[in-house]
Amino acid sequence: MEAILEGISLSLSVNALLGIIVGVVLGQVLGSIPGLTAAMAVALLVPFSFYFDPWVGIPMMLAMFKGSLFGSSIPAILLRTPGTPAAAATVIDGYPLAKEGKGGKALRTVLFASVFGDAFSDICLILGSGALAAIAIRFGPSEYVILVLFALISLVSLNRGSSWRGIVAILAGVLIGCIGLDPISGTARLTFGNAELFDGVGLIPMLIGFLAISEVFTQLEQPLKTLSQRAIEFSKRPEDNKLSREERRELLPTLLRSSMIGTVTGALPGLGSTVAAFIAYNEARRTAKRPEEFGKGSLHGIAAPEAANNAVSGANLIPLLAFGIPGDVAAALILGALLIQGITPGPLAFRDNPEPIYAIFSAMLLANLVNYLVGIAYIPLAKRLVSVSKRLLFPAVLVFASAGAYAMRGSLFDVQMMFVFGLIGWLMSKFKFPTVLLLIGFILAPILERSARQTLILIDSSDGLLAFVQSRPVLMILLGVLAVLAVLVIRQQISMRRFTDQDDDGVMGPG
Amino acid sequence: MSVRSREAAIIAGLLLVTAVFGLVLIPMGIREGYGSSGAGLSPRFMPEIATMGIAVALLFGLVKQLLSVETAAGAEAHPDGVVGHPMRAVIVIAICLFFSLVGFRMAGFYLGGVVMAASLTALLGEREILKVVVFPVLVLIVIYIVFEFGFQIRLPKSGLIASIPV
Repeated sequence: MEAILEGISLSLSVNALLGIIVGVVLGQVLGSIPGLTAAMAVALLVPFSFYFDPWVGIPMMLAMFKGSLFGSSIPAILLRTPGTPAAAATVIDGYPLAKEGKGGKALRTVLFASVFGDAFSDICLILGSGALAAIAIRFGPSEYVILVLFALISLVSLNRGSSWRGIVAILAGVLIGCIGLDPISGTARLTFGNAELFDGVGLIPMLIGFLAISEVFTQLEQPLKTLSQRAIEFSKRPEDNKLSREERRELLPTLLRSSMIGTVTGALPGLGSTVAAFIAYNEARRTAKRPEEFGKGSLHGIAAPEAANNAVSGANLIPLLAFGIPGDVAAALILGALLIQGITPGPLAFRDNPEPIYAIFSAMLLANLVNYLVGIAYIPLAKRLVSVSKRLLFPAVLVFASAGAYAMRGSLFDVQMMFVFGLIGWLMSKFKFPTVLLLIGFILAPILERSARQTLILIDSSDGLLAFVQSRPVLMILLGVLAVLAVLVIRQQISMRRFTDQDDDGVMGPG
Repeated sequence: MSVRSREAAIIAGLLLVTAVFGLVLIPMGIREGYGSSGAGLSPRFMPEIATMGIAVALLFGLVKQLLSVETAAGAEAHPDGVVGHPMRAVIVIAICLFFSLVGFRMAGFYLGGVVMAASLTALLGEREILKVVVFPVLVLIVIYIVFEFGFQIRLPKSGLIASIPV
């Protein structure tokens, strides 16, 4: 109880509150700029969180993510340019409503649904992660190997493109994660005498390079004409720019159902917000009283995908906080920010140092409230920002990213690495390799390697593999679950080969 | 070249790179020291497993590609249905790499940043000279204020200017 109160007091300090407000504002503003995806915006801002006190930097980062998720729906609705793949479902009804001049109403629906879904999943996170962490604390290195493999297999199986491309991407991430000093023997690995690589490849250049720079390179392929876009007109009638109490009440069942879909989807590694948004959209249309309105500007069609994709953002922290394993790119970014601040999430954090975890929980709830209030004020200004021309925006992003990559370690080498990773990410997206899986492979590499090597040493010192497995009941259960998952994945791949186009892009997207 | 042949050629190229990595770069880049021969102790353990895994996945992809039914070859289409311009992206990448390797070191971050942003803005089709020059300067002023005053971070200054014996 003391830890909970201490955690809450950390997030309620004036500095933390300011961090949340600044984070939400920056997230909403950057997220709403066309061409800047939510992940890209946050990746650009991660290095700066290091320069603040942890209890300003961490709430700011969490708030930034929430703000950017709402912000990225603004160009989806006003310009038909989803700031994130998850916002693609929002476009279906959001853009037609905005074209009628009701952009204000559409944006308020998005804001209401986003905050509802986000708060719902945050509460589930608070209730669920502690219980899972209590189980995870009994896990040894062998159980962690199985858990990481479980996460990786789920990610590969749910990547809509070829599964072999997913495996190549993950293992390439693991390989990059091996660069630097060996964690057990201290031998330099694949550094080729470069002292800058002894500490390994920097997480920040990796994140900015693969998420932001590669996306800029990809978008620069657009014809010059499409690099400048115009915003949509807003109606001047007040009722077209607000969401009435009756409309909110009518949306509640849809919001609740969609938030549940998003929370369940988010808790499983790899499914991601895009899948959740489309499942929720289809479910809303299936259960709607007036399904014929879908696709023509239905408020339910806007609220359902938004509540679901925002609910994913809280729930995908469940595997991160309970096991220390990020389930998707959002969790990977938050893990990066926590590690920068010296906080290692996982079951031990709940036992040994729970205050930061409770501070994170209360900061997340508080950030939802701030996100709503700032969003209400920001909507009228948003239409100005979405009209920023990409030909001005992208050079600014590249220079800003260079400064961010340099700032972390004061090294131009990191700037060079960032552009190299941007180039690799761009090539990967051209050849349909999912870059997000590479990032998750890179982040999980140290956990996987340490646990795998410790397990091998343990097996070596026991009476053989069978005796080792028999002595660990949790490992036996996890092995059983992994075997079932593997069978399901193989069956799914066989059925997918029959029904889907092999050349399709992945769920994780190119970026 | 058909889509299938092109894909197969790419996978074969990647397999070759993987083979060079596994057979040449790993032995060159990771020396096995004394006492690293026991189970799980070799520093090459994870890189070798990852490389082998990549090779197996690529082989699987190659076989799958060779056995697949031929599809119609098409132009590199943009998601919006328009033909993309990869050459522009290549030029931008070259400019970025030039500035990160040479430009920032020689001209310093602020001057280099202005030149980099201005050249990229012009490359992307902006023809109003005011926007080409003023916008990058404004961006760098914001970066200067945020970094030098806000975070007390010194971004690299011009070595060229510092070397002038004044």
